[in-house]
Amino acid sequence: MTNQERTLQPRTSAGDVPDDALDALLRDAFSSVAAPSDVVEATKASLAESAPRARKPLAKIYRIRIAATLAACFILTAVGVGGATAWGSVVSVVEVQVNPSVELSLNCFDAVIAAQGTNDDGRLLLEECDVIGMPYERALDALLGSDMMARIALSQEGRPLEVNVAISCDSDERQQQLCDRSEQCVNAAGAGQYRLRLGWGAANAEQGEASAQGEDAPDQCEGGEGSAGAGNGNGAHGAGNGSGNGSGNGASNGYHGGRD
Amino acid sequence: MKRSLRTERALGAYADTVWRVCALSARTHADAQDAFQETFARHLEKAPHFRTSEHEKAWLIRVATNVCKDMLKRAERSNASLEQEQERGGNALASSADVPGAAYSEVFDAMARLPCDQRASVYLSVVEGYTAAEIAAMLDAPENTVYSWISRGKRQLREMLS
Repeated sequence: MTNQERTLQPRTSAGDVPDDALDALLRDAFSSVAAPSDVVEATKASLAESAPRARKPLAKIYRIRIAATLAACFILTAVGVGGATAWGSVVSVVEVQVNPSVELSLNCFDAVIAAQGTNDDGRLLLEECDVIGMPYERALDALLGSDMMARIALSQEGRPLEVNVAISCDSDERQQQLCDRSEQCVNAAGAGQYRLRLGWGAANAEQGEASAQGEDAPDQCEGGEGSAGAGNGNGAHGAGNGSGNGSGNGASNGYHGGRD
Repeated sequence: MKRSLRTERALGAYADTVWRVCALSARTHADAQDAFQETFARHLEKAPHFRTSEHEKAWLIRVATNVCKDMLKRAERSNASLEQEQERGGNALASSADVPGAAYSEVFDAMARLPCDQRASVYLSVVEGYTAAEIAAMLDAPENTVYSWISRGKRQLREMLS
């Protein structure tokens, strides 16, 4: 006997309705029951609305979220590492020489990330003025506005104090910008107490060397009093008067040669 | 075939069967509507590959039954007594205005008074023609229990309709 046969066996032990008759009654009753058209239409509309969304499974949503989080972490890490690297990389070196002399290392944001005195007075000046982390203009302002510089300027008895600036960097455009900023800072500081003289950069040391051998080198910084090639014709190019240090192995070398 | 087209075709083919299951098991007409929609929504989202049309029909009946059970459980948790609801309006099928003809109201009322599992077992056995083993698989119950449900359900129906 199959399960179906067992299920449909006539039962007369309870009630008066025979099993076959009960089954027929039930089948007849249910055969006339149909899904209401409004329910079917509403379901169709609901399915049409949800179809474009495709109702992503939860696992897929979690996978997308995890991937997005990882991507965000990766981008933040890359930006952080890249930013830190960019911040810590020296792209320009500016030597400011008045005697005291200091050398400022700038990053690509033109912020001072290292400073060292190239003579004893320079070291004393940097002890007085902490310029690390400052933008270049502020650092130069701070140096020129220091008490030590004020004392030296006073000792000039009215003569302007020469501020020799040598800029080394690998970009002509950046070098020009730094020249312009240096000029603005020096002109603004001390109301005529200072006079700027711009020098060659280390990146142009080879050119400076070439100049020392009598060849022409292009002016890197233009304009302004005492700018390269503007009248002095010596220090800026590290050439003119023969470049005392001879080979001109950097901005300061070429520059010092011109000055002395 | 695109999922939405497949579900639309299933809706056309099995709407009446699914509606009967929902209407038999749900407490109210609104609940039956919700269960009906949810069943086809799940078909759209999760339906597996069906080997035959019978396989698809059995899947829909099983899903509809489970959806209705979940709704009843939720209702019980929210302290809405099933007995009170049934006393007030019977089940969705018995109270539905979509049931044509008053001649069958006695049958539906009798079905509505059966316990949920007995009602579903009797319906699937008698109206849909499933075997006890198939019903056991659909309702996730032992086969012998299904026999008992059918037997007791029919006995009660006979008593009520006699």
